[in-house]
Amino acid sequence: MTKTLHFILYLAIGVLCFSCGEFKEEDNESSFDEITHLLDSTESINLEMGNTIFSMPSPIQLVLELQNNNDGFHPELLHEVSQNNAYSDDFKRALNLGIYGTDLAYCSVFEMTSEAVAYFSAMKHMSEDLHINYAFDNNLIQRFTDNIGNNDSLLILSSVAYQSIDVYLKENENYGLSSLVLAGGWIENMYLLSHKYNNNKSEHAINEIAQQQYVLEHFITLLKNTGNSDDYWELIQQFEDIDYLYQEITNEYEYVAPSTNSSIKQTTIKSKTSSSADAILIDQIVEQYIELRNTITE
Amino acid sequence: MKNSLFSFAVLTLTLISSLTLSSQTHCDSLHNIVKDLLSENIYDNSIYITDGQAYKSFLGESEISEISTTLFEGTTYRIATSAGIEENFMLFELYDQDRNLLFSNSDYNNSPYWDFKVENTIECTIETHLDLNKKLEGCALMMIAFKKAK
Repeated sequence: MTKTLHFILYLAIGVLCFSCGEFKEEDNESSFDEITHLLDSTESINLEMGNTIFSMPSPIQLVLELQNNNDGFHPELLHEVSQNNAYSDDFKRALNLGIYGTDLAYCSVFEMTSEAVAYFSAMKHMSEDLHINYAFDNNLIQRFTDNIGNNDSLLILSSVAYQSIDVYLKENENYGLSSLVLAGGWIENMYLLSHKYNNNKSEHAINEIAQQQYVLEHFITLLKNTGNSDDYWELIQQFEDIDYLYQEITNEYEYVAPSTNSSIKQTTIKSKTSSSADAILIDQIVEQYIELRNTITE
Repeated sequence: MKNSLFSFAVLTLTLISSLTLSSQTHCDSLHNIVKDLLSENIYDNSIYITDGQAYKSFLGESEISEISTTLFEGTTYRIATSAGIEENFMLFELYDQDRNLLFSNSDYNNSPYWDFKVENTIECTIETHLDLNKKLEGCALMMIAFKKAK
């Protein structure tokens, strides 16, 4: 027994030294592979449904669209920042954390620095209420403070804040909250896009709403797989009501061979898509998006 | 005997936590590698901003990670992957909704990143797996970022 103990002791000390040293893959690759193989059940941090992971669009990308279309900054559309401590359950907190994330991105895109700081602060408070404040570490807070006034840096840090929450929740296997934060961010995106559409019902605006159909369907699958409480059921119902309207749209797809410029490592995807969406149907869809968002923030 | 068993249990736990720490370090190191790929070889005055999600998986010998996404028109995306310090461990392919192959990095020396300029919004699937000639299993990370003009 003593010999066995000594063997284990030496082995443990050896592994401790190994794990505290700088990681050099060339030297230790096979050992790492053996180790990670033993631990594979803890490694995956994606929202996997079967073998599929759903990638949701960046809230920043969608708010940049608003800026590109010269739609202007509409502070009246943002969720009231003081409401960050008004929610008593984690379900609503997570959704509203996502909503604040999009509002932070919206303020950053339009260079509304003081508003961006207020939303960052609201997100931090809300993450404390959700007990995920480790996602907002001092480094992130410091970087945010240091970059106030630098629009692009704030945008990147908005993305980092989102990613930090996402990674933290998934590493802690809290897939339910993770999907709600993502859903909240996207709902706010759709709320802002819906108002933009109501101000100018152009063909471009119609297409912008129509093109979100697949994202909505990804969210429905995601939510069905990550939560089963009444709150989830209700949210999924609301999503399915909107999807029911989307089903009236006929989408067509035509494959066109892509072209690649390898010298700049770029491929242009030329496949064509078209949809039969019209303003009457999109009117109904945006009305539902606005109602959904207002229900979540109230 | 009781003391010996207790010591045995403590040492075993120490061993397991050490293994976890080293594995975590390995996977965490991928984050910076992929992040650096997002700022490599940008030929114009622009930046790549991630979609806020990290697609991490542990890939075995014949495992494929499948990511379903919508790529929006008028946007240039960068897909970047890593499974270790060597740049060419990972293979990734992009398929459209009808399973037409749009791109495979195996045609370009397993390039760890590639840019995609999207003319029309499409539904697509990204499949990632290890190049079994170079690595049999391990932690893998992918990021999707979109291009923003400065």
